[in-house]
Amino acid sequence: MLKVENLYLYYWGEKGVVRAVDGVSLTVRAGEVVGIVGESGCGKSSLANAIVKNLPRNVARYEGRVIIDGNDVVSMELEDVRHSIRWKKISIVFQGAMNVLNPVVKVGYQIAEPLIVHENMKKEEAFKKVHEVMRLLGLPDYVFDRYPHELSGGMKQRVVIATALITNPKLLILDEPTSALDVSIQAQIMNLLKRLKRELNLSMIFITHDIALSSDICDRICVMYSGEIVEDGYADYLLPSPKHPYTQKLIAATPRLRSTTKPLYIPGSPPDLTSPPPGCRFHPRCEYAKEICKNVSPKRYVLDDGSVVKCWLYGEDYGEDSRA
Amino acid sequence: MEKIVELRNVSMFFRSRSGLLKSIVVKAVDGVSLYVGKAETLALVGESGSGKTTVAKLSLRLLKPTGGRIIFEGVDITYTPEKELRWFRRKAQAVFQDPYSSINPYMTIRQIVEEPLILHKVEGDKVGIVEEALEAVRLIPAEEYLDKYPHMLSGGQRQRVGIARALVLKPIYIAADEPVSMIDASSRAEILYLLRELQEKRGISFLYITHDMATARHFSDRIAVMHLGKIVEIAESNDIVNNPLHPYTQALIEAVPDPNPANRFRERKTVSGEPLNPANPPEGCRFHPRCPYVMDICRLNDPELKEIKKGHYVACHLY
Repeated sequence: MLKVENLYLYYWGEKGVVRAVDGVSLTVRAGEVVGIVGESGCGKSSLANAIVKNLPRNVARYEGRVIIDGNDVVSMELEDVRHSIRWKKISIVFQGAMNVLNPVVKVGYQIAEPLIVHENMKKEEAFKKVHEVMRLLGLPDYVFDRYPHELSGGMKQRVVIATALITNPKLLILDEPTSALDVSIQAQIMNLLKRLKRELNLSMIFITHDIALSSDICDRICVMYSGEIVEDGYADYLLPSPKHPYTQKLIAATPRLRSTTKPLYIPGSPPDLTSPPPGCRFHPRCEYAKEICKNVSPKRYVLDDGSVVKCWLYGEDYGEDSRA
Repeated sequence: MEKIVELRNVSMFFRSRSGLLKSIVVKAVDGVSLYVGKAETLALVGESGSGKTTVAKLSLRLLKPTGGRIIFEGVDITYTPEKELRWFRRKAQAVFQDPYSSINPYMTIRQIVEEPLILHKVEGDKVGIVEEALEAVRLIPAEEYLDKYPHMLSGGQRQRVGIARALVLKPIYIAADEPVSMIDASSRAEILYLLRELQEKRGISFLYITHDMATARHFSDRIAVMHLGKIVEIAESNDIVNNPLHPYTQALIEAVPDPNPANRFRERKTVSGEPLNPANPPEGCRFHPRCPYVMDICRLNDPELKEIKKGHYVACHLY
């Protein structure tokens, strides 16, 4: 349904070119939820922006293909993307979107806005649709006439999701939709997203720093490190038997509430996106690193369980200075 | 166990503006009793607005409580004037949440870590003490960090500078307010192991303020769960996670996912509604509007914190 091929997004930064998205490929099938999991500064939000061609002015490189319904977002004119892709096919809930609702406009009008502005729908018709979507999201009718400051955080997040869904997109991109919410509200929103997935057969890209949270909804998980996807696999295989050393460490570093196994940590910190290390970007923190890892960026290997791993451990090229 | 810090029935009410002329009283902390034992970590877990940070500030006597007593090493410091608190200020320190805003960007690491020594007029080899503190938090070799500025360090390293600053006066008590919530997931445990190690070596007592039940379980001896200014449950960490008694604690635990692909096929049991406004708490038990087991008595009487089993206290009419 959505196919991203070799996508690049670089910015001009103070210290040089920021390689935020560096040759990313991924596929989202109909009705599937794909997670993008990575630490802060790994480029996951930039990837979301690149998919909908939401680019800042200081772009240094924007290349690759983002195919949805036969259209390539990268090569399309921005005007056309605005008209025929955003909202209609792909809606995005930005991180912190609940804090940028217009404070002086009633919430119902804000949910209706995409219909009125983008689809030239009559107000009465749009409002009818708003009430339908609000019901779907568990928002009581009186919320329509409220202003954002009168709503709690969980309600505002539901409003933002309603705004994204009102145009019936095929794909919903959610960037850290629960990171500002308390855990009990986070669980409510996750339940809501699960229901939307089931009832609307909606495809989603779910961006988070929390691999445990991604297991709550994602069918597939892409692990991102320093602008690249280092592992892409089905949750059923990736979570119990991660392949990439970074994924293994990231899962081991996640504190588990229901286990006495203590979390581990990865020494060092993620690299700066302006000057990533040569070869495999994880090699300075990887216990299996060999000569080739320091010099040559790993190929992508497709394994039997359908996962794709960008690591020399899984290829013959790892070769001579064999595994210890 | 020897109690280092103890709060006895402590309350903290704030006056808050409401509208143009009205003012309302917010009971941020309402009758909280707890202690931190010697070389023990007590985790204080709660959602936003529960009053957990206010408890941390009270335990450091950064606030004078509206009611109750604050005892430090057996001395009542509730209303002691600041001039007479210098001994306490050396022994009790804080580590803050945000390693980006809690250290001055215009000072070198040496100046930041040295400042408490100067304020407390510590004589002797200050640089030596600073280096020792930096080594204790594994910023090694220490000399290399002395003249660096905060922006040259990663978030995790900055947080370690914050911990080193808390260590130079050799405190016996540290209140750490969400010390790892802004640290990358892969390095979070590193900071927590470091705090644990400092505790073992130096016998420091910690109050660990967090919203994260999972790290609380792994890095503290006991957990106190706070809800709208009150402690609703307190017990040994494993006990509270394996056998939570208060419906609010049960809900908090149910809401936390572990990485498990089966999660996506089931909905979590959630408590309905939103955390309530601390400015306007309900009558009776403050959790009753959201509680799945609510009874008539819960709407009328606020339950007391009672010991149900040895060392396991809960404030709930169910027990």
